[in-house]
Amino acid sequence: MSKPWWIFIAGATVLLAVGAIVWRENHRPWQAWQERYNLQPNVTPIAIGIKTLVPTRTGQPELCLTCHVGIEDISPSHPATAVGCVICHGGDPLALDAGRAHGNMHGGGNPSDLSVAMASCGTTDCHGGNADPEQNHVTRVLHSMPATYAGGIANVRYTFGAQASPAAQFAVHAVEDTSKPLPPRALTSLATLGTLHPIDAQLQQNCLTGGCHLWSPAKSEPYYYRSTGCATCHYLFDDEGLYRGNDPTIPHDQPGHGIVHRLTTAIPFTQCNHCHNRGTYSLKQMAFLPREDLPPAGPPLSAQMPAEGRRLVEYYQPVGDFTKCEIELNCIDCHTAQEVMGDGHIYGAKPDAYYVQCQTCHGTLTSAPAVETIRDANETAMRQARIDGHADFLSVGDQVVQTARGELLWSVKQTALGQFVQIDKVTGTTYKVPLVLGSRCAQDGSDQSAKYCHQCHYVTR
Amino acid sequence: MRLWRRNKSLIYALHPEKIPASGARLTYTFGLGGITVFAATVTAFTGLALTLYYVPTPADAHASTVLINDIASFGAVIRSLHYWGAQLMVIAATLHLVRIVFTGGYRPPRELNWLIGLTLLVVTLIWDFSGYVLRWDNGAFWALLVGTNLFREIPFCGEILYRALVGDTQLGASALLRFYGWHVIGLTLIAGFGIVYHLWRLRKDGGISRPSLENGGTPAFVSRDTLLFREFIAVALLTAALLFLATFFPAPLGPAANPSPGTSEVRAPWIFLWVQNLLRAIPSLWAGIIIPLAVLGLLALVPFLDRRGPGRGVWFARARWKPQALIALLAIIVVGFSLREALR
Amino acid sequence: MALTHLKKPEATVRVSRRDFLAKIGWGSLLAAVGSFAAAFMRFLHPNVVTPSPGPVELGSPEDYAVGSLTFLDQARVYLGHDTRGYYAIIAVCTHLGCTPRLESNELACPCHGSRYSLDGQVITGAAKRPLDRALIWRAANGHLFVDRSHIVEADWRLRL
Repeated sequence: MSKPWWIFIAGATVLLAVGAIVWRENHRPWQAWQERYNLQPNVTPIAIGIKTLVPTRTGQPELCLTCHVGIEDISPSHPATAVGCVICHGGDPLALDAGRAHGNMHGGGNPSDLSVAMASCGTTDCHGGNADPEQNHVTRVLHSMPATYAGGIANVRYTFGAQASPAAQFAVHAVEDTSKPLPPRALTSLATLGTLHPIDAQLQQNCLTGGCHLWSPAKSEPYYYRSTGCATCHYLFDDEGLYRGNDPTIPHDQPGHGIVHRLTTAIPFTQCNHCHNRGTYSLKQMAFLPREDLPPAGPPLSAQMPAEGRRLVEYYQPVGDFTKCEIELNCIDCHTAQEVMGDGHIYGAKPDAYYVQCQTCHGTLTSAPAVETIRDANETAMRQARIDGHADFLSVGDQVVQTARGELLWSVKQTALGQFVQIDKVTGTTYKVPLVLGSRCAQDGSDQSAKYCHQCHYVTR
Repeated sequence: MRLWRRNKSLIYALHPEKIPASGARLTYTFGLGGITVFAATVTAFTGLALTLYYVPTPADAHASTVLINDIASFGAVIRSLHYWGAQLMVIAATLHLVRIVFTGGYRPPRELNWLIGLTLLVVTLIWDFSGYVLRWDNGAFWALLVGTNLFREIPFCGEILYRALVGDTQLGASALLRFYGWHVIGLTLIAGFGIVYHLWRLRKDGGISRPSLENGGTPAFVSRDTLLFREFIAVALLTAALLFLATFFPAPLGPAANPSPGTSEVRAPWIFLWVQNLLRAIPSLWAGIIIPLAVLGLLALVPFLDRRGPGRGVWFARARWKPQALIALLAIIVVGFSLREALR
Repeated sequence: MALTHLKKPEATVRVSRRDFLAKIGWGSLLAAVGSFAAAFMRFLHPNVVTPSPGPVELGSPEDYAVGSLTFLDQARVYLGHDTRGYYAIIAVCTHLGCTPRLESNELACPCHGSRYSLDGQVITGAAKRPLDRALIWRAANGHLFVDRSHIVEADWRLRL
């Protein structure tokens, strides 16, 4: 070939190569995400560029918002401007490549997964390592029954002859409690369930994989979608498990994502029902039998059904009787923080941990509910009211219901006139609480179990 | 234009007026020596650009590399050019050595130049390894840990050598800073003087070795101008190739170095995969020190295995079978163990 | 003459004064270059090294239940708690120093394939010595501390 041809080829290939570089420089992945964000409806378009966040708590720049533009602030207690992203999620704050940025993240996308919760949520000054054990929520949850599954394991093993008594000995992951004194019926330790007895392997497979405790991921089916760890309850999912927020990197059509990137304490009954009320157990078969009256096992629900009817059908078992409070309030309006997250001690049977009864709020024939006065603007009850978004419901000096174990129920207070009012923690609706004292209730005072009260007070479906 | 024409450039003047055509054929040398020098130049210039961002402390090494790669405009390109230029240099230098063996370019009076070239190859490999370490990502950290701990295995003076290399009793800021100093300046000085000496020595020894004339034919020559034109085209095409590689196959970068467990498999840099494979089965002193030094020693012996006789300047000449067989054997061993490790 | 035997034998005198001076000169220069090289080698050798970290706090003993073996970042040890008490395995492979990884029932090193049992004995691979154990104790504040520079025997336990 002649010299001019060689010169042409050389020049053309170099120019092409330089063009490739320039093209690549202007088509970085993060630019594509920002352009996709701008195309969404109902968002204010942003200028394309690297977005830096310098949270006040760390003082170190973070570039996460360059790709995750539009992601919701995780909560008013953890604003991004103060806390940032990396202190909880880990990862590389300066990387703009997905693989590099997300390497070394705690627990994948979920820093509250129990395997990493102590390092992310439970760091000192946060939800762990505090002098007051009530503030160490991560420790409490790790010892609680939703995490240990102690009662379930004990029952199955006892039924199948793997242990001589129904007292709990094993948990999903070993826990220990050396605090003194231990409350009645609390245990000192549980060992990790291994394969000591032939039945244990089947127990692991049938009961412990597939979503029956906080360590295990959920079933990937409608109604079941949820996260793990703290986010199991505090990060809301809808029935289809779809994301409905503005972050362009989270696919909107892929089930398995929460509704928005937000933690909340106002947890509606729908969230609890991602695990509960989804079916029955057969001890004999050592199996969970999903409900057959709902999708996906059963037919889809009619779109014309009114809301209350839907709630009854979708979220409550066909086999139960329910009282009015159970179909109007949310689970957390009665089931306290110490019940659900644990009080830090280890229990081996549900009745030992879950103790709130009708009489806690309604009292008995002979006495009104026990109350305690709010003395400090920063005590637990006041903080819970504030975090839940109902700060004006309570003031110092108010009297709120106190449970048999001394826990204050901030959402049920006694007014100056001696009446009791309750505020729904999720919707904010207030209710007057009817008392047994002075009513026509014909109860036998010695039986205060839920089953007993339900016999008269259940509402026809 | 007239200014340039009248005062011929330095590069022009450095070339011989004419070179024998038999030595200048592309299918004879494949231009591998020139490719090596080109790759070294690209790596040097992109390396300078990188020093304007890179910080050689354990806290900032990885972060500054991420800054270059993800944030600085064209940073990823410059870093990838540096990476591919370096790998090209290693490959070209090795293939150049193989070419010299198979064409008899080590024959007297070129024994000294062979040793100089071998030294340059060693410098290139150390350059590659030290550059890999400077990333301070997980792979780099483990590679540095194993590599420096191998020195400790040497009897009598192992610990002293370790401390002289690392500057401390354990890996940390001192090791990173020293590797940075060697990589950016120390090795550059050695390689710079080495390349100049290698090229000067080549001229002194009579230029590119080529077949001696038989049957008294008239020798053909290639003019300086033609040579320079070929080099110019080659540089342009190679530049384009490196740019395409840099754009579509960016240099890898893992997560920041973390001495905690968690990496599923640790891979040595590709040039030392064969050593990693040997280390799995053979005691460390042998696998990590003695065998690699023995390979180097055998390579150094090449010119002394075949000093006279026919076959100079001819590919695969049978008369020169000894060094060719040695190189083939060493290549099979090194490539074989490397593949064995890579395919685990 | 009687003193001829005292005459200097000229045949053996090869070195003139000049040559001798030059030889001394070159020798000195060579010695000087050698000294530069030796001084440079000495320069490379550190006079100050990072001190060993000393005691490192590991947290409260209640956090480590019986049957657990937990990797602790701050000290690079595996803290174990069995029926006989607490122990700390130094997480440094005895082959070439990488950190072994806890798998279901063994500690596996990702670099050259050494595998150890959960109490540090070599199962297979390039390592020849079992993993070392470090001294641990409970301090006045109730927390466990470890000192990696104090090696203890494999069957030693901290009993609380």
